[in-house]
Amino acid sequence: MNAAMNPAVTRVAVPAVVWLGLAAAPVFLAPYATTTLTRMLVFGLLAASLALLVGITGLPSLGHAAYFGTGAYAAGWFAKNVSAQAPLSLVVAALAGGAAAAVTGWVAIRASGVFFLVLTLAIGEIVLQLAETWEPVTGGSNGLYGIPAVTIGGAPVSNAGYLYWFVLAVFAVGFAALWLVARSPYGTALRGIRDNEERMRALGYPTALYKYLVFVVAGTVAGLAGGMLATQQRLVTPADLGFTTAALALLAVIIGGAGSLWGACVGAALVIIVRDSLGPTLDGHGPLVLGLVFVLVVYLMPRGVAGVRLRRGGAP
Amino acid sequence: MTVSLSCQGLSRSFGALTAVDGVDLAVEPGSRHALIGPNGAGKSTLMGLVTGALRASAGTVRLGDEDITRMSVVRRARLGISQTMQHASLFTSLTTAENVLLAVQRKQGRVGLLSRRRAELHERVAALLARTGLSGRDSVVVGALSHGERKQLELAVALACEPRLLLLDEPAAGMAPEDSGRLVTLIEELSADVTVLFVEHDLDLVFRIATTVTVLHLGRVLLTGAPQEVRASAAVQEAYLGSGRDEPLFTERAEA
Amino acid sequence: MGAWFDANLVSILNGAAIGCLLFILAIGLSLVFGMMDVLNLAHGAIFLVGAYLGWHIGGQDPTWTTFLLALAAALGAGLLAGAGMSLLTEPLRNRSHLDQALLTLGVALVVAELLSMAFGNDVQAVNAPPGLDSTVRVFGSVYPTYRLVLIGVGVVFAAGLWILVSRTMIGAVIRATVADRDMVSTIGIDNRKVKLAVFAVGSALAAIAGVLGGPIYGARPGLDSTVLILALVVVVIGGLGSVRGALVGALIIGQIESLGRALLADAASFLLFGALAVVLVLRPRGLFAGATR
Repeated sequence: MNAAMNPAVTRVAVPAVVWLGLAAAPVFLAPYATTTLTRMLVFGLLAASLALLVGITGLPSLGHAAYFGTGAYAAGWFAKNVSAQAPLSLVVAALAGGAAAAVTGWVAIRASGVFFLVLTLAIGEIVLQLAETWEPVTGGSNGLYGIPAVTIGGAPVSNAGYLYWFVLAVFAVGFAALWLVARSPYGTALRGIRDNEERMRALGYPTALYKYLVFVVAGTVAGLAGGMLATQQRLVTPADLGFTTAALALLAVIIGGAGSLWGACVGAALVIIVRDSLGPTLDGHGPLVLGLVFVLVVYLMPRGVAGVRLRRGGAP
Repeated sequence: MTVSLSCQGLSRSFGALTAVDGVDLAVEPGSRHALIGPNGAGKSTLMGLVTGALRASAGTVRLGDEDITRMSVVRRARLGISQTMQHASLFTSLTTAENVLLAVQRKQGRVGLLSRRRAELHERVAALLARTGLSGRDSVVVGALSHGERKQLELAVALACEPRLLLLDEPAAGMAPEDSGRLVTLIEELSADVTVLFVEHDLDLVFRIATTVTVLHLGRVLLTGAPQEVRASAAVQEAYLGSGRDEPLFTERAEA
Repeated sequence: MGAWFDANLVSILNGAAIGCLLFILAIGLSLVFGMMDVLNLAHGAIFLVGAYLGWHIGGQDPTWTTFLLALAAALGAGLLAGAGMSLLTEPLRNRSHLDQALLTLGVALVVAELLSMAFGNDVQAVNAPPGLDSTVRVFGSVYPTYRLVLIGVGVVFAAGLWILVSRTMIGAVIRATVADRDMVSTIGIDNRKVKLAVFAVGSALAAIAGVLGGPIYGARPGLDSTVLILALVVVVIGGLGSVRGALVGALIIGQIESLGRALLADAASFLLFGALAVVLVLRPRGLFAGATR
């Protein structure tokens, strides 16, 4: 019997190979490719946090970039004005994202369905406006630049490879948190809420609280991803909080299959590749292509973009 | 501890339509109380008022000594009210076992990040599936289940909550005879600690299981009594059939 | 109190003018959703089409001829755009709101980019037509005539709409469809035609609002997102499918946008969110929620 075919083996082997590959990457790749991979990790974590919200809990958020951006600005400001010592600015980023999600989520969760969607869109826009006008802190429409490189034990990390490993470590922490939630009993309950919230309430689950908690968790991890962005790019602009970022993240989630955390990461990688390769040729008309892609994706998905893959019971 | 259900002057209106009108209902602890009546009588609305899905326009609902009229669905569920719906209300992308697990894990306690006592939970799930005849189907996604199987799963989920008050809304609707036979056995085997209130159109089933029957008509209680009483009542016949007809509503069947 | 009022009269009147404009814009969005359960996030882009038409046809200083021409063009373009959106969303009848949101957002992105390619990225200002481009004395303050006229137009429109909805057959169909769409189709009224009509008229109103809004908002990239958010907030606060709700919501948001920004400058965005928060906490389905589904 072929041991490779055993599903239990593949369930452990495949992720192991992937993680090893990710860890070894900078050894084999040129610095530019390593930097791209770093950006994929950042965006991947954002997409995965959104997948927890949209795919697993069924809360369609169009404003998730708000928490990403909040984390990015918080980390950038902290690194510039307080300390660039790792992992402080990242902790600040996660907390900032979580706090923003806690405040806005309290209102958002009261809405359901289309109201929720509209509300998250509004939240995203409002946070964007805030970023553009709060000049002293965010640098206004020019953005927050001159963010110092993160330091580990006093030494700044500026080499692309070392920076990648640092970001990978943070990615692993964030992804692990999401994964833990998704496969826990709480995660199963979230899927229950997605499928039939009324029934969950009839079983005695306080669904509003559960939804609020996952919203905050997703916001915290998105904030962490934002911190990773600030660390890697050393520049944060309002566009990072904007609708395009939120839309691309959602696209990544959809491409990857709405209920899958890993899928969202793969989707994110694809989005980055496409954007990077198409970017220069599009002459600034990126939104046009993005719009067309959305229209196509919606038409091409017969069971709807949040159509859940029928799982064989198990992996998130 | 066995609990009673009582409704006093319970009413619910939808705009100009009064679906439930001043209903007084007393369900004795441990009884099998049937709620029957022609279509539009207000049975499902009344069930909704008891579970909390609908808010009462007037009147009260009591579970034992507690006034639950203003309580949310979630709180009532925590007090031990469990239900099945007319159209099976399940978690369609999850498997049969996961559906039951959701109820079982909630019953067990706080649902958190770490799965505690997994083996115990899975045993309970397996036991419930066996009771409702779904043992072989535990890893099938609900979307792939037949109608009858979904009704069975509905019941398994409701029982998984270990309810004090079990509400069944047309549990046998659309079931094949052998499945409804199993349903009858299941209800008969239910612990005497569980109080059951059920809506059913299948009158044979009603008269086999019920200890008390309440007939609703146009939102009001027409009659409450032992099955025999209800069977013999002329008023009930009229409600179902109208006043022009003579043939009996309930025919005695020779027991097979 | 009187002094405060005087000092802020201009802002209050501004708020009323913006509110009237938002009402004309938002009513289409509200009815399309309330009646047909379709979320059209391209509504802001259609407003922008109207705004650019106004600028392109009339230029910075339109004459009455060009202004009316622009309105007519906006009417036509809006009707077409609405019909187009109706057709595009037809295959999505039974899909989730997220699908509709993504589709209509995609269309919005495409339209906004096309407008940008056609008309450039500069911020364009548009003045009021002759005769309305002066000022008038109101309670001791000086106020632009155009905006007063806009308030007048809004009032007339609201009154006309109210009569339509409450006194005519069409209005009855509208109210019935908001309450129970499926029932209406069973009495022989073709849902698809109703959807097409509502989309077309709603979008026409959005485009017309774009022209009317020229002297206030001009035409520039990004305006579509700004007004979309305002319209969405109006509709969420007012309740989907409710004419009264759209009016009340529009007036409230108009004041927040005007008085709020005047008094609190940058924190005005928070006011917007705050208003949303307050309403949703008290009435989760909007102030005058339509269907009781």
